[in-house]
Amino acid sequence: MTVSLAFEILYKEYYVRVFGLARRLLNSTPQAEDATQEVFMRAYRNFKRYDSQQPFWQWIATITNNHCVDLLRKRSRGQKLFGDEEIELELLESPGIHSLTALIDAESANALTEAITKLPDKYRVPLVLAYFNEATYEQISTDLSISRTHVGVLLVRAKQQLRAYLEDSGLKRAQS
Amino acid sequence: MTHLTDLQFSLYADKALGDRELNFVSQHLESCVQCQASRDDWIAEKQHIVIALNTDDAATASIPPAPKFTKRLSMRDFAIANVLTGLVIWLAQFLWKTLFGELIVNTFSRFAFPIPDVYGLLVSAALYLSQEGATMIENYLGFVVLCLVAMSLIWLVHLFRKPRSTLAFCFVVAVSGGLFTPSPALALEHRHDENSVTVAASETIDDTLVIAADTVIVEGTVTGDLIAVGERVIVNGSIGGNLIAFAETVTLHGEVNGSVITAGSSVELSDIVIKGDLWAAAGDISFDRESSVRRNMTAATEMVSVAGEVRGDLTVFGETAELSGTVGKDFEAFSGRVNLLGNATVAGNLRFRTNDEDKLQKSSTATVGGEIEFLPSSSKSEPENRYFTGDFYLGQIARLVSAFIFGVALLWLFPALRDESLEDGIDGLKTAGIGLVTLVSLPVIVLIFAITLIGLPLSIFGFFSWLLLVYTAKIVLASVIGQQLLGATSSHDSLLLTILSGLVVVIVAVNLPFIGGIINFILTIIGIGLIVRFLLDYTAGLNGQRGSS
Repeated sequence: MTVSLAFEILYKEYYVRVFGLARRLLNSTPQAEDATQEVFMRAYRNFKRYDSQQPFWQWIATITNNHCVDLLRKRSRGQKLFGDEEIELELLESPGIHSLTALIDAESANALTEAITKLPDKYRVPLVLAYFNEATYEQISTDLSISRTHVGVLLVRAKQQLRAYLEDSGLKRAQS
Repeated sequence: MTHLTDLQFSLYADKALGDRELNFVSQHLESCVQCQASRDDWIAEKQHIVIALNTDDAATASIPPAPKFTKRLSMRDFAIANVLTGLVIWLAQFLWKTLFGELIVNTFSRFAFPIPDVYGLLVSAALYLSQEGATMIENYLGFVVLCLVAMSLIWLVHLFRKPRSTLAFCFVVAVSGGLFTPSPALALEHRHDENSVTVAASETIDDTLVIAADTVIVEGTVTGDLIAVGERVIVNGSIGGNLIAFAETVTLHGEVNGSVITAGSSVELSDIVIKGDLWAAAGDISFDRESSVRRNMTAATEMVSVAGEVRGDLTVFGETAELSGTVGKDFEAFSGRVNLLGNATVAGNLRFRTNDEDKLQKSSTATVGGEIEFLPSSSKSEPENRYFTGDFYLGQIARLVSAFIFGVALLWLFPALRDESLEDGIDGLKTAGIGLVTLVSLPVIVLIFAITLIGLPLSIFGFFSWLLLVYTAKIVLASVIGQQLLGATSSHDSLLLTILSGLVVVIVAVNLPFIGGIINFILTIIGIGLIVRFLLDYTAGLNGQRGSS
């Protein structure tokens, strides 16, 4: 079996997962489709570097993360993609909002999915890596080139933002 | 009572707290009911997010057809393609010319193998190159240009897709510049004939002239350089540039505005004015009293006779040097005997490298303006320990640098060679065995091929392959040694360091006193074995791929 034929099988097996990850990271279906194709091409070209002792998903997920973060960095046009750690830490001190569980009970579960798509890149990316890709804080900090504490702060901020979105949408519904 | 922060709750829910922090948070949670409730909320919240992210509709997304998985044409592939194409073109032309043009026709017509003399061979080679070489080089260059055009088109497409691709932009600009810059006019005329070529006295050649023939006679004027190859070269005319002549017999008269480089069995210079330098190597050289060299003369010969005028330095290597003319500056002789005859004049010093001062014969009327120095001849001195000479270390550094450059290029072109390794001693012995068999058998096979006419080109090819194999062997082994030294499982990330460290070890080892030769041999056969193993694995891989597809 040729390498390209073997790779087509891997493509069919992992396309959905790679696409799902890319879509979550980029928050755009067309961009995720392009990114997924590019990720598989990169994986094919660098296949000799793949360590077969490692799960394939872990390897291709890393390529996906790197490629998508690169795209997001280009999209941010030179600004710090993940903000400043100090500023984010200060934002944590803002008064707490209702717990997400209570809000979700009041809203539909789909509202949370929608709220995630509304998160800014700097909160959504670590959230996806942590809870979709099941990456550890250490892995995320390496992939995104930020400190471990910064990862933790961004995740808390992401959750706070989600609560704020859900509360806001709940209020709007109540008013209507 | 201070309660836990959001950050602590989040890290706790994500199981990302450090040990000390976890102890603190756990202790607090045991005693704080409010924080226990919050903790449960944070954990539930995480679960909600995980579920929300994993209930993505991507699972139902249709899978588009797989793209065509192809590897990009890298610069390495491009270089290999060029080298291979060049080889194929060269080999095809060589085979065509050798098999059908020369060897077969000659053999069937004569039923004997002519043994050409060195000048015959030289003339044949010059003729062959002048007839076929230009076309061959043009073909190859044409192919290279075609490749460059194709590459630039591909990169142009790439440029449109990725406007910030600076490298692509530079490449396209460079290639376009190269293609559209008008090429310089070819100021070269060449003439060739198997018998004789004559440039008549009335003729003036305004270009550089290249002549290859059995007999070359130049009576006219050449304003550029003259390059003449043949069994007999006679120049009587005027040469505007330099004169380069190789022949069994070279006879030069007239005027040369540049320098003269000549070699042959016999070189005769009479009534000639050379405004540049004269470099001559021949069985015997004569330089008559009407001749003059405005700058320096250097001669390597068994017997040189200088009766004319040398305005610069005269340097002679050879058995006997006779001077009856004048030397404007110094005369240095690395020869067995020096005779200063008649009114010989040396304005500067005479340096004679000899261990026997009686080897200098000086007539009473000969004059030396400076000093006569006798310097010990290096050939008669005691053999020096090579480890105490600077040349040895310079030579080894040059060897290291050239091997390093060659090795980097080789492993860049064939990266799979980097994966070669020696598992253990048994593996090393097996590899050395393979190498020894190859080292011995290849020349034998080459020799067998050489017996048959059809196999002659193959045998030449085989012989050069064998030489290349022997040279490459220690470089490949150095890469393996470098990997072992640096403890790298793969040398992809430290190619330069790997090769350099390995080569240093190899070069030191092969230069060790007494055992260096043995080590050199062992390393060579192991290296050859590694290359053969690589080639066998590669061929097997290709066959396997072909079989499975």
